[in-house]
Amino acid sequence: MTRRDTLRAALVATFPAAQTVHAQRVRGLAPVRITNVKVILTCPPFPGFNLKAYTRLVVTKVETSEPGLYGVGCATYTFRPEAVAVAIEQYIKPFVIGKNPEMVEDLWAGMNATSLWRSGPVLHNAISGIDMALWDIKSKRAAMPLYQFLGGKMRSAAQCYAHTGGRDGKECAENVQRLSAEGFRHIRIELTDTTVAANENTLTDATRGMPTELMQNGARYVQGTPKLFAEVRKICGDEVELLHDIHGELHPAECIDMIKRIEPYRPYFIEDPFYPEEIGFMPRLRQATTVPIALGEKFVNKHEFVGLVKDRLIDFIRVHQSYIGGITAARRLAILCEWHGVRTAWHAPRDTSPIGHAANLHLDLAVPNFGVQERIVFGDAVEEVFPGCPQIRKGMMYANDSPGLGIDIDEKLAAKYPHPNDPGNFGPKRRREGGIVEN
Amino acid sequence: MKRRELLGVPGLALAQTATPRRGLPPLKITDVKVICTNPPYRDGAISTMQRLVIAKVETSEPGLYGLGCASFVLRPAAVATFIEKYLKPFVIGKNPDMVSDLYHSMNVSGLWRGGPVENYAVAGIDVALWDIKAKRANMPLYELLGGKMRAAAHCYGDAGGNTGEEMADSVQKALAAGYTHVRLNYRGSKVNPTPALSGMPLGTSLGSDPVIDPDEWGREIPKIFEHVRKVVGDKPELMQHLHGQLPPITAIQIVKRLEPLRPYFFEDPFYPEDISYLKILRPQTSVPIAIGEKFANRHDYADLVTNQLLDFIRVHIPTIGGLTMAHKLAALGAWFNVRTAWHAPGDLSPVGHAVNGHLDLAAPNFGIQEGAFLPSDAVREIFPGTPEIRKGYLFLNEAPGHGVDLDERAAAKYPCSMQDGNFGPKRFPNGSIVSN
Repeated sequence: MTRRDTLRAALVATFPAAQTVHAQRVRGLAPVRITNVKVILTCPPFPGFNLKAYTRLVVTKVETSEPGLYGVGCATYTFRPEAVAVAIEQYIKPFVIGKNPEMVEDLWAGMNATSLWRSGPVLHNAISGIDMALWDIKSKRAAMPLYQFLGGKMRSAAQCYAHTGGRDGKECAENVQRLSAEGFRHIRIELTDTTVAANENTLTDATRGMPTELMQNGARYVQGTPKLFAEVRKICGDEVELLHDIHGELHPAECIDMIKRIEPYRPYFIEDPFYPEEIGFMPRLRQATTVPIALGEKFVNKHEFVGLVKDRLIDFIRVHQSYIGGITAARRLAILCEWHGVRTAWHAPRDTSPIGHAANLHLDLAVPNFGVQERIVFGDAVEEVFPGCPQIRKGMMYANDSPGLGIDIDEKLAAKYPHPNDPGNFGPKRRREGGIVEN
Repeated sequence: MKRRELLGVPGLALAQTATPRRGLPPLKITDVKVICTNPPYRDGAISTMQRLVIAKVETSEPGLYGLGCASFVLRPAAVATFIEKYLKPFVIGKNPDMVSDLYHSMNVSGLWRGGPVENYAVAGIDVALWDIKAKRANMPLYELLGGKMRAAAHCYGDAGGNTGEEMADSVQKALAAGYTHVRLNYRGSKVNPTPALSGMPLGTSLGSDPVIDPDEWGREIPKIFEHVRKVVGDKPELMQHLHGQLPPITAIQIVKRLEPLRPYFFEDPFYPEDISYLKILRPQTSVPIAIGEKFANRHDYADLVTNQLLDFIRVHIPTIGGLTMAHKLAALGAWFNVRTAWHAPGDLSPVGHAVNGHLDLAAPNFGIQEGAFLPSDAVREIFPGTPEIRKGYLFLNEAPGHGVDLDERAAAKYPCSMQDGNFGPKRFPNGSIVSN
C-alpha cells in the first residue's frame, strides 16, 4: 500500500460523510433564480440615542427559488430611506427578479447601467441592498462565511476605535481612560461644545433671521482642539492612540493649520479634513503635515476617491460601503487601496444596519490592508431584530462563523419598530459669519 | 418735449407706479407639488424615456408659483418620493427669495449628496425658485442671469443611420429643416450571437441592437463620417456622438481618424467613469471635445473645465442640481473659454428646455444648443409657453420667469407609469455590460 492509498483509506474510514458531500459537489449546485425582493424599514432603538430619524434602517431581503435560501443586504441612507425603498421596489426589483443570483458582478454592472445616470447615495444604496444579499446567498450556498470568499481570514478579530469627547481636556481624558480600561487602544476624541442648538444666545448678527437649527463655533473648534489633544496626551500618556474627525466642517486653510498644530501630539489619524467637494485641498494638506489622513465617509462617486488613492493623498479609506454600491464596489476599492498602501477604516455609524456592519467585518478579517474599524454599540433591541450581530469584546470585533454574512433579520420584530413620521433632514447648520456648513 | 415731461405720459406712468420702490412684500413657500406626466411623442408613441417630473412650488402670494424640471426618466418615482418626503417639508415656510441659501441647505440636508436622484430633486425646487424670483421681478429669467447677449439660441440637429447612405440622407433632411450643424449618431448593425452571450440577460435599448461590437464601431464610424462629408460638402458643420460605450482607446482612435474630416465637435468619447482618458486624448488630436450629459457629481466635470480638457460642456442641467449650479458652471467655463452646449433630449421637460434657452441667451460663453427638441401637440398643451425651434434656432417667449407654465388637467390626461422602464443592459460580443 502506497502512502497515498493509506491516506485515502484512512480518510474514507474517518470521514465518509465528507466524501459524500464532495461527490455531490463535483456535480455542482442546482440552478437558482431570484424570486422576490423585499425592502424592510425598521428603527429599533440604540442605547442612549434618541434621534430616531438618524437611525432609520433600510434592509433588503432577496429570496430565491431554493426553499429557505435568501440573502440580506444593507441599503440604509438614513436621511432618505423612502427614496431608496422606492428605487429598489420600482426599478431594481423588476430588473433582478428571474435572474441568477450567482452572477453578482454582472448584476451589479446591470443594475448600475440601467439608470443611465448613475452613482449617488440613493442609487448606490439601492444597489448595495441587492449586492450584499447576493454575496450572502452565494456564500450560504457554499456553506462558508463570507470572508472565505474574500480570500479567507488574515486575522481573528478586527481592532476597533471608540468615540468620546468632553468640554475640556480633563473631562475628555477621563472618558478616554474609561474606554482604555474597556480594552480600546484607539479612541476618537472631540470637543463636545463646538456645535450647539440655534437660539437667541447662540445666533449671531449674521445668522439671526436665517433658518437655522445648529450653530457652529469655528473659532472655538480650531483653537480648542489642539489644546484638547495636548491635555489628553499629557494625562493619558503615550500608549493610547488618539483620533479625531473634522467632518469637513472647517474652512480648508484653517483646517490645515489646525491639523499642523495637532501633529506634535501624534494623532493616529485625522478624519475628513475636507468635505467631498473640497478634496482638491488634499495636496496642500499633505505638504503641510505628516499626520495620517483618513477620508471618505461621504464619498459616493469614484472621482471622489480613486484619485486620492492613486496619488497616495490619504492613508485610510473611510468609505461607507453601501454608499458606493456594496461589497462588490468595496472589495474592488480595498484592492485598489492595497496596491497603493492605503489601509481600510470602513465607516460604521448607527445609520448602518447590522448587516452593513457584518459586511465591514468580513472585509476587515480578509483584506491584507485592514487598518482599524469604527466601533458600534448595538444594544438589546437591535440585536434581537438582527440575530447574529457581530460582537465587540475588549476593543475587538468578532464575526460568528455561520455561512454567508452570518446575520439575519427577524421581520416580525422589525415591524415593531416603524420609522418615525419625520422628514429627518439635517440642519441647516450655520457658521457664525453666516452660510451653510457643508459636512 | 423735455425728458421729465416725457416720463409723465400715461403709459410710462403706469410702468413707474409698478416699480417697487419700497421693496416687495415678504413671501413664504406654502406648498410643493410633484406632477408626473407621460405625454406621447410626435408619432403618438408613449415611451418611458419621456416620463416627465415637474416640481411646482407655491407661495403665500396668490397665483405666484414656480416650476422646475426634475425629469429623471429612468427613476421618476425615486425623485418624486425624494421631493415629497424630504425636500417639501424642508422648504415649506421658508422664503423663496433665498435661492442660494436654499440650494446649499437642501443639498446638505441629506448629508450624503451628489448623485442623479439627489440632484434632480434639488433642481426641481431650485429652478422653481428662480422662476418665482423672475416672476416677482416681472422679468424673463435671462434678465436675472445678466441680460440677453443674443436674440435666439443657435441649435444643432440630429441624424442617424447604419450606413453612409442612410446617414447622408438623414443629414440632408436636417439641413433642409434649416440646421447648419448636424450631429451623426451611429446605430450599429445587428451583431450575430456569440457563445459568450449565450444565456446572458439582454435588455432593450431605445430601438438599437442591445449588442454592440466595438471593433465594428471603430471601423464604421470614420467611414460613414467620410461618406457624409463627401456628400454634403465642406460647409455644413458635422458632429459625432458616441455616448461613451466603447473601450476608451478605441474611442481615441475614432476621434483621431475623424480629424481630417473636420468635425465641429466629438461628443462623449468616454462615459463619466472613464474621463481620465481625456488626458490621453488631448495630445493626440485637435478635434474639439464636447462631454457631460451623464455628469452628476462636480468631480465628474469641474477639473475637466479648469484643465481645459474639453471645449463644450454638455451637462444636463437638472442632473447637476439645477440653475444655481449650471449658472456657476457656465461662469467657471467662461474663465477657461469652455463653451456651453446644454443637453436637451426628449427626456427633458419644456421647463428644462426653457432654462437651457435662458442660459444660452445670457451666457457670454454660449457655444451651441442641442436642438432635437420636437414637442408634440400633447406636450405643447400640457406646457403652455413651450420654447420653439425654428430653422435651427431656439426661441423663448418673453413672459416673466422662464415662461413655461403647466396645465395640470392636461398633464393628468397622460398618466405616468412610475415603475421599471430600465435601460438595457447592452453587452459587448464578449459578454461584458456596456456603460454609456
